Amino acid sequence: MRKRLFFTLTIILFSFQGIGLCGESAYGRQLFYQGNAEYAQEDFRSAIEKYEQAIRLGYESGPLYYNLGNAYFKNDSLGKSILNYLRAERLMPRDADLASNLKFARSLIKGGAIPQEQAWFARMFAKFWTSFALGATASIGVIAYIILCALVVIMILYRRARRPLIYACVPVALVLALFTGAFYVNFQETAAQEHAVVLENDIESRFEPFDEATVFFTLNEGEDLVIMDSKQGWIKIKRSDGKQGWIEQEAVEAL
Amino acid sequence: MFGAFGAATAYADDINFEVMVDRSSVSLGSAIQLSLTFHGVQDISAVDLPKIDGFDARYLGPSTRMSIVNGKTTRSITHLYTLIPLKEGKLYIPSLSIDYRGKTYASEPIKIEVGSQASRQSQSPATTHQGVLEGLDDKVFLIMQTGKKKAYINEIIPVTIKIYINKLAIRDIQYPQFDHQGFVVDKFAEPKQYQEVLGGVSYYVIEFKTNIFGIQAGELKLGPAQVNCNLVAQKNASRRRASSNDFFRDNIFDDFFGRYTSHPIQLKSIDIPINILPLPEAGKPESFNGTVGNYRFYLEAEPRDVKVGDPITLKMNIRGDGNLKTVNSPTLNLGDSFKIYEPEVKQDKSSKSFEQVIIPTKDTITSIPKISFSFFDTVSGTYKTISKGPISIKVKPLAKGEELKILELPGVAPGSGIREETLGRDIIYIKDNPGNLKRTGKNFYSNGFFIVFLFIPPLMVIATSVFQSRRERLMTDLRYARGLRAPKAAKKNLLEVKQLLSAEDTDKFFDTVFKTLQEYLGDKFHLSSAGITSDVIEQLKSLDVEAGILEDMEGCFNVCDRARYAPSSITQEQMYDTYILLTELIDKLERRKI
Repeated sequence: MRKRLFFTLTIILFSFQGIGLCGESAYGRQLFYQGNAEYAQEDFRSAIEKYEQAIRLGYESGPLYYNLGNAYFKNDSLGKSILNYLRAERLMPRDADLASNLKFARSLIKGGAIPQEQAWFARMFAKFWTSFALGATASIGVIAYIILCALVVIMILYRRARRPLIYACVPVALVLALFTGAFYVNFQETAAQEHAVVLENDIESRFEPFDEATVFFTLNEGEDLVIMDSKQGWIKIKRSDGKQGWIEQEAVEAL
Repeated sequence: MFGAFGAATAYADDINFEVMVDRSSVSLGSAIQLSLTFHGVQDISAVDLPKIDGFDARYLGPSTRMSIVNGKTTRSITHLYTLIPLKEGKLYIPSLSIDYRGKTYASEPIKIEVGSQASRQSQSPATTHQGVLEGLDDKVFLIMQTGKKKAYINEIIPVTIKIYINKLAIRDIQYPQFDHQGFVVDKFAEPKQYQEVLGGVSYYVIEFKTNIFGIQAGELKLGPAQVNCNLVAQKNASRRRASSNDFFRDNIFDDFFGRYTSHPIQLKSIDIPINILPLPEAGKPESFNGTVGNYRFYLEAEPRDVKVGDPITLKMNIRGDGNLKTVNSPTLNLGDSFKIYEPEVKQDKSSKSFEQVIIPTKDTITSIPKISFSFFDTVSGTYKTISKGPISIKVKPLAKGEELKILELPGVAPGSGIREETLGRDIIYIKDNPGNLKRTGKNFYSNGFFIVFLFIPPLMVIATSVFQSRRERLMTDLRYARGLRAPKAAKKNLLEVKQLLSAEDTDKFFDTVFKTLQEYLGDKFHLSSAGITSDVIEQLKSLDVEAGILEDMEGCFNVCDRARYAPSSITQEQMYDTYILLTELIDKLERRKI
């Protein structure tokens, strides 16, 4: 009877999330469709406005960022376009259309591809672990966790069930381990580090955070960076090839 | 070591007269064999040799030969003489003339070197390889020759290396090696074998030919050439001859079965200085890239009528004499109107062809520009340039709506260094469905409740496990189970006692009191409840139960006994006291064992 109580608690907690949104998100959806209509008319500026409004109101979803990315792309804002594609990627990492568009947009970055600091297998590894969105990873992990505990409880109470249930425990434990790992890696990549995208071409990255400092290297619109530090309007960034430098804050936008 | 080149022969009509010696250097005490061969006749009688200064001549006999080759008959007769040198030094066999049927035939003189006897010791087969080679310098030697002693960089120079062998068994001949610092050397062709007469002596020659070309200017040295081979000698330790030279005179090819040994030897030639001239800077055309020789250049292009993005194959053929290795594909200066792929190269003996694919990228192109091929002609010592084209072509624009697709042609890689162009690509269209529109920042996993909630399942597990172990204990451990049950049962019983008290049912009251005592003490101390009497007090004394408790217990039992035997003597007050006593007793006992 304790278990029954426990399960009811769980259901209640989860339903909190669901109930809250149903009514409100209708407005967000409306803006999304309006944006789509503008896009179809090739009025990309208006489409951008509508999508941005939805985001300002606090909504987000993979398709929303994706459409916004497309609209910026059509409007010749490569930096903003890639920025929103990357936001979309966090929410729908396995979407093929998004992957294709992002690849294409990146190929248009001035100056060509930047050599990656991480070896290809390290990148493949990270990509594998982030192939589920953070939320999805957490959900699957939690479900596995609950199932595993339930199985253990049953195994304690019913001696005879122990042998067969061990075989059920193994895959569940595996899933739990995998998704916990994935959550951790994904979290490190996304939430623990702040990512940003360059918004203009020929941004100079300097050794020190002031105008007269020596320029180390140059960044172009669309390149993605990690923000390491900030100081009076300057931010310290790290590029994918490992190079670090200080640039002006306005030149980038965070994910 | 050897005298005049070539054989000492005289020709007249179909008859010719040849004079040969078996070797041209000899030591005192050995003899040389002189043969006078007449080709084309067989009826010439022995010739009387004139007196040859320094030699003693002896006639050995004639030998005739006839051969039919391709239907043609050749006849010859050879007269053999032995010549024994009488003194050391350079001796000459003078010109010999023979009259036959009215015609006179004369031979050239032949030089013979006679060495002292001391220098040619008889050697046992067990001497070193060097020792074996000494004394054989005139019987086997190596000659290296080049076609030119002076050449330009990259100009082909033919090199010939010949091994001369006279009446020796040489086996396992390896390909020659020679120092070629500053040259590039081709592989040797298959060696040729033939007979050659050198200084009157007939040799068996093995000839290796190859081509080299110089890659740096200056006075270079080629060689010396070296050939490793094995000399096969008869194992003749017992049969000592007058000198080592006679070792090899007779038939070597007779005894093959275990009667011969193999000595590895190394033959060496002289080195050859070669002067490599640098290509002149004056007059060097821009399109020159190292080709030397004399060539003709042909150019073809097809198809000539294409659409933008369709491939055109350029066929360039270069043929002629010279160093084909240095022939490179002519550079195409087509500007950025064409996309160029790497050429496919084919080479055969005297020509090299390049097939190169180009793709026009604009429809404004009307021709393929002029293509030049330059080379340095070593014969004239000048640079020459052959230009072909421009070739007019027709490039049609793409039809409206057609996308320009530059396909990767199979087997041909695109020019490197050019960034991949993504012509005609575009982004994929927007999505119709907004998906799961959530609130930004409101992740369920960062929610405080969620974290707390995460602790519930393990707590559940712990609780269940405790619960389960307790249950199991209850099932197995009887004493424990009874111990737990005791107070509960007692409480129930006491309640009953209280009820009976109010009912003033003396019999039943004391029965129940007794029963309570029995059950409680039995459960508490894991004794048989039914068999409990006041005797239990003794048992409990040994269990260290306090005296006070035991007294109370005794009191209870006594009252119960009295009530049984003299019920009328019990008052209501006594019953009440008993009830209190019992309750306290149980209380004390409960508190005790904790």
